[in-house]
Amino acid sequence: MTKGFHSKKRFWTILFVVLVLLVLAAVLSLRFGAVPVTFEQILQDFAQGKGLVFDYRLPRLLIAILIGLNMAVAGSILQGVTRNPLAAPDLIGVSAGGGLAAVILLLLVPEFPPMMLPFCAFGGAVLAGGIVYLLSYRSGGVKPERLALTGVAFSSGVQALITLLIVKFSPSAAQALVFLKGSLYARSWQHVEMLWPWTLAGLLAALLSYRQLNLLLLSEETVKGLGMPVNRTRLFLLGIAVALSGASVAVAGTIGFIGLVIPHLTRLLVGTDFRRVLPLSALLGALLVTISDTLGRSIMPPTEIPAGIITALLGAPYFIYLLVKRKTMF
Amino acid sequence: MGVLLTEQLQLAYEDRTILHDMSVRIPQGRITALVGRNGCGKSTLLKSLARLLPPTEGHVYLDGKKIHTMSTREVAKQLAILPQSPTAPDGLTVEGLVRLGRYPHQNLFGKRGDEDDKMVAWALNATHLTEFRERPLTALSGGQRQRAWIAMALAQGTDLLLLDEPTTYLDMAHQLEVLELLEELNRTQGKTVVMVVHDLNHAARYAHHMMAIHKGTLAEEGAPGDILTPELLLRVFGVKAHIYREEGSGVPIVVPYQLSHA
Repeated sequence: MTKGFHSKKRFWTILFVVLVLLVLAAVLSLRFGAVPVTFEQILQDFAQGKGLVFDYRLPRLLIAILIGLNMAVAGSILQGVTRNPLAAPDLIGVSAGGGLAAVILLLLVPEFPPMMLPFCAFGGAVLAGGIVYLLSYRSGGVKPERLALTGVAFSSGVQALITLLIVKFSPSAAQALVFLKGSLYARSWQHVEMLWPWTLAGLLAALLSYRQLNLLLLSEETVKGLGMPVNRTRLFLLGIAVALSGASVAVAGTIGFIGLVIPHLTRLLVGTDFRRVLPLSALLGALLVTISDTLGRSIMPPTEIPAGIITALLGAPYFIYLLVKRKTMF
Repeated sequence: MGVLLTEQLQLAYEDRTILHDMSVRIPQGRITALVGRNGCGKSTLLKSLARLLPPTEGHVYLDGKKIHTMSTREVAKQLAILPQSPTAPDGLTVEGLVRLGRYPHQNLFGKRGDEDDKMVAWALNATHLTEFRERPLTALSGGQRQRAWIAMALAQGTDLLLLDEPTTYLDMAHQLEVLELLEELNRTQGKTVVMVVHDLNHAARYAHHMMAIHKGTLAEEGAPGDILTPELLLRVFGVKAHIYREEGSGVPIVVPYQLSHA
């Protein structure tokens, strides 16, 4: 690695570029969809505070941004805390737990009020995260390797249950399948209101913890030697990640891939310092979901392709390209 | 400050007892070498001295206080420990690493104070790494990298410096590079150094005090010149050895020649 590769200037440049791209993507996302609208109409809707753009597209855009941010920051935290490059919200059981709770509600309680779904999914996500943490707990705390293994095993079990339910109820499982793929279809201001406080609190807590996250990249004994209460800090950081990803799963289903890939992408761009990784991964996550959702509803209207599918379709090739090009991981 | 001692320390993993009834006192302002066979408990002793491992019985006292009742941060302000072969993320620079040594002194927001900058600059200077400050650790030689880790420990600003096999995996020249640095830090800064070392000749040359650990107990302690005898090598290491004295300095030179099958 050449000197100055991860320089400050480079970081700010990349951050600025991503921010500009996000603004562009946001404008396009308001304009395109099943029905394209003109810029005049966007402005008019904003001025009046109602209409197609204001009532449907704007909340949906905000949800996309918040979700991308939540999943990317949660993934960055999890990969740091577990020192495992494969860690992601999917890995610690959060996605599977949220998914199972949602599927149970959708399939077994058909008469539920729609606004119960996010609460139920959030409960399932947090519960699953807690169970994985407790199962990996041994006297003296939670070891990252153990957490990752328990998370994988637990998630596989829960995924099997989800599949079982879907198969059993297959004719009426379409809605559940869409939830599991992660879609932003018909998301409203109510969802925005549910999501943003979690995002704000989680992001602030994460940004304030960047030094702890940086320190946790060292070996455990070094970290303890430097005076950090390792287990308490890990629990706190895992809590932030579970809250961020759980809230996101609750309103948009299990949008995969972002939590896994955006943190890597970010580190490839600016190095491992969490002071840079956290803000940039947040913006990149928001950008990827915004683009994916816009494409998903514009490519073949009126059919919507769930954003979760597009994120993977877009992200995977670019990620592989970066991996081939560079060798650095952690 | 920086008085470190143990009283009837006992430490066990599950049902295996590693340390038995160990009462030792680390001489202040000196270099102490912990020596012994693999698995004799010397690393375990070092780790419990640094509060990394909780004892099953007995106590470790740091400046008269039971170390396990102190907070991790409080301990880290008075005692720095360098584990064996520590790892760091790719791309971390020397200065970035040394700065992490200031962690126990920073508040929640981690605002960089003048004191932090001063200590980091001093630690880089003391380890002769100032010119390498912007290099990533991965671009350094083994000896330089070990010096960078020592610089991180120095930035903690503690009187006590504990090191677990600081010379392992280094070639001869790099081993001496590290040992001479420790000797210099002890001489010029008055640091109390405790290190686990395998090479008895290094221990004899650089340490003032030697503790030979055998099967979880203290077999012998004292100045290397006094305690390094063929009898001790047979008892503690299970080898027959000649002990020579270097002309002039009188530093003992250990030459093992046969495994004892007794």
